[in-house]
Amino acid sequence: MMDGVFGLSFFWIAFWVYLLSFLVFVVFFAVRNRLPGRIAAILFFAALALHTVGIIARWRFFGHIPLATMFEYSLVLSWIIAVSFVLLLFRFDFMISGVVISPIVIIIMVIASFLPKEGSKQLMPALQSYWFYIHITLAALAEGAFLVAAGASVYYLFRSARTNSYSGEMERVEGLIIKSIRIGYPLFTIGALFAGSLWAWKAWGSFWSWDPKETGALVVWLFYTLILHQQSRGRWEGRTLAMVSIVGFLIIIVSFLGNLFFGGLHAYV
Amino acid sequence: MKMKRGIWKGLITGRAAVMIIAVLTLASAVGWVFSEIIPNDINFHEDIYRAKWGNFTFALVNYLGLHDPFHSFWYRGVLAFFTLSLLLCIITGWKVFIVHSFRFSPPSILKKSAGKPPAMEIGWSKLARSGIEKKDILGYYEKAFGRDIEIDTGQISEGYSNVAAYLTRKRYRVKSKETDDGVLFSALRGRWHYPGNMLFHIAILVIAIGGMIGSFQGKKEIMYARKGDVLTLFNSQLSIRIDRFNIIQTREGEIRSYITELSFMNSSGDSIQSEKVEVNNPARYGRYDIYQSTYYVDEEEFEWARITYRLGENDRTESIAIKSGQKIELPSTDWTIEIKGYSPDFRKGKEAYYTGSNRMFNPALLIEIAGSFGRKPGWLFLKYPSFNFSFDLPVKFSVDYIEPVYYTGLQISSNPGTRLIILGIAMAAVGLLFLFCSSYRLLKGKVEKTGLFIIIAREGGGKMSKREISGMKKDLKSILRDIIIADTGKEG
Repeated sequence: MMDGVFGLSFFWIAFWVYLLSFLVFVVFFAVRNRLPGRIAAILFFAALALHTVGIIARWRFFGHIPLATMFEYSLVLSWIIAVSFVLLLFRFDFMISGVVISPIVIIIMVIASFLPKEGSKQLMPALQSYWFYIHITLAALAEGAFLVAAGASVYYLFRSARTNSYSGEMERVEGLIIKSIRIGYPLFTIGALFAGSLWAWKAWGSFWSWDPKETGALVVWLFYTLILHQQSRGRWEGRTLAMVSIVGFLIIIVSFLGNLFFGGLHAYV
Repeated sequence: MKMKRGIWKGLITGRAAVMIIAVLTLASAVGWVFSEIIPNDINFHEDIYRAKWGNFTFALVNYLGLHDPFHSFWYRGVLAFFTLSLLLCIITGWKVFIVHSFRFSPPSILKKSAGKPPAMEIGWSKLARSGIEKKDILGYYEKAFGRDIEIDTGQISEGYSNVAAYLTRKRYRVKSKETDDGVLFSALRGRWHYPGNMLFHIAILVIAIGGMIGSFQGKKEIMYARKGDVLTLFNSQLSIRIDRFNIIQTREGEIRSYITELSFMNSSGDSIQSEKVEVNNPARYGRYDIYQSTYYVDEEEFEWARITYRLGENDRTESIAIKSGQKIELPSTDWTIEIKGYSPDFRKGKEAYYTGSNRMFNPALLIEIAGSFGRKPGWLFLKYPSFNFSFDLPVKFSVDYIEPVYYTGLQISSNPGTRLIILGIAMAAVGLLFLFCSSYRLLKGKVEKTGLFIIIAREGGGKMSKREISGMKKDLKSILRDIIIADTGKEG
């Protein structure tokens, strides 16, 4: 266990428990019985606990927050999304959001499984900065919020295809999409763009270098700016909002994985 | 003139803002893709790419700047248009953004019958007869009960007071005006929302201007230097001298940090400020920023070497550090040692020795031992010590370490747009805080003889969700019902 891929067992087990939880959430969604919902939630909490232990173990072993590689970022991102379910459940009693959130967590963990898993106790010089914590943590929180919005959008489209009426549940899901975007946008602007620019200025002497990751972040930001402008004009609601939120998710994924193929200044994360 | 006015009006609409953001998003996405799939060296290898793509495609790619799309005319054009749109938005929108947020007054008249029904309509009759309504069907109470219950002036005042108290609890600021048939009021919440929005828009403009200044006026250069070198900063009177360059490694050989110690020097060559520069910790003097950007290892030369020698008699081992060209006395002997030559990749030819490459594949030092016996030159090999010359002396020499010459890679920057960009970022952060932490709500209403009517004003785009409206309506009904019950004696 004490090697460069420390903590993997926890994530591996957590992944399977999340998957099981998702399947039970699907049953809950189909039968609308509280019992399978509770079982699914308990499984989800168990997976989240394992996930948390894995992150803490990796953090302690390597001596820095596990955000230094794309693999670590994916694990923290999926953890943030998983935590959002806990908030939605306890704060708003929004059990059905499990159907939305568990598959996103699983997708991110699947993506993580394809990424190099080695860690290092020594952060490379460019990452040895307090901006590392600010920039990447806020970016992960923001992207987590956007991904929750995308998951809720899939659910919204699925439900709206089956019914024509705008029920209270649909209103709640639409509210979740809007709120997630409204939480994600300022975090992304401050964390990913501004903190990233300031850090780039400190480390590389330039606020902006048109690096693939930076450009990807700009496209993401512009796209969500567009969504918010349309929202303020009373446009892009309901199904349209759900669809554009899913497009936003796709842009985030391309931006996230882009530097795997494109390289650039962010090639290590 | 009409056409000009039309264009102007068209430019300042929300639709135009959305259009330009959409175009910029699309242009950025297109640029993103092209910057990755088209090599950026097409102008350096024109012949190769002409042969590969054909003349027309090459000319098209070159004309559109697809190898460097973010500096192409079309992308800059979109950016310029975006900036213009932002500027117009700020110029024309400040009234809506600022004035409506701070200066609000009760309406002179409530236009509840101007096509759209009020957002909230609570009739006394309905309250009196059925208690708290479960459904809000506009005009339902009139159809259902035929006759309106009317309340007197005292009750109107009491009703308004209760509504105002409720709205104040909900963090609204309420202003009212009494009329002959009731009380007109306006209630405002989240007044910092739109100033925050305005600040954010201005901040983006400031950042864009700062970026443009930096793009046109900024200078940037990467310079390599070794200890003792003096670098002039952009042909100015100012220069820097490299005092020291260190690479700090972990035990595992990973690089922990690289640090350059340098001094800023004036035109007379006097040191005026000393700084330590490392990654994430640049040095600043005047308008110049010095960044630790990279480093370069020159293996063709060496900085110093550690030579160990064992005295044959008692097997005692001594080590010395010696620099290139240096001549020093060997401790415990009356000999001297001097480095006479260095080969990073030692090879032996038919007639002479030579260096196979400039990399340290087989580093070797040519040393010369001098003493009462005369001068004895010979080679010492770092990787293959068994080939070391013996010198025909009762001492065995070996080389343990050869340090190549490290050049620090410093980025010298001068960006007059930096302060604007930082100011813009700070403004934007504050703006976002206000924008997303306060929800703008502007309600206009009237408490009158037949009921309470509230319109959610759309000035400035304040918008309430259906859930919020129904929650507020429920609360208000609960408050107002007490007045009616006290008057009519009826329980719902």
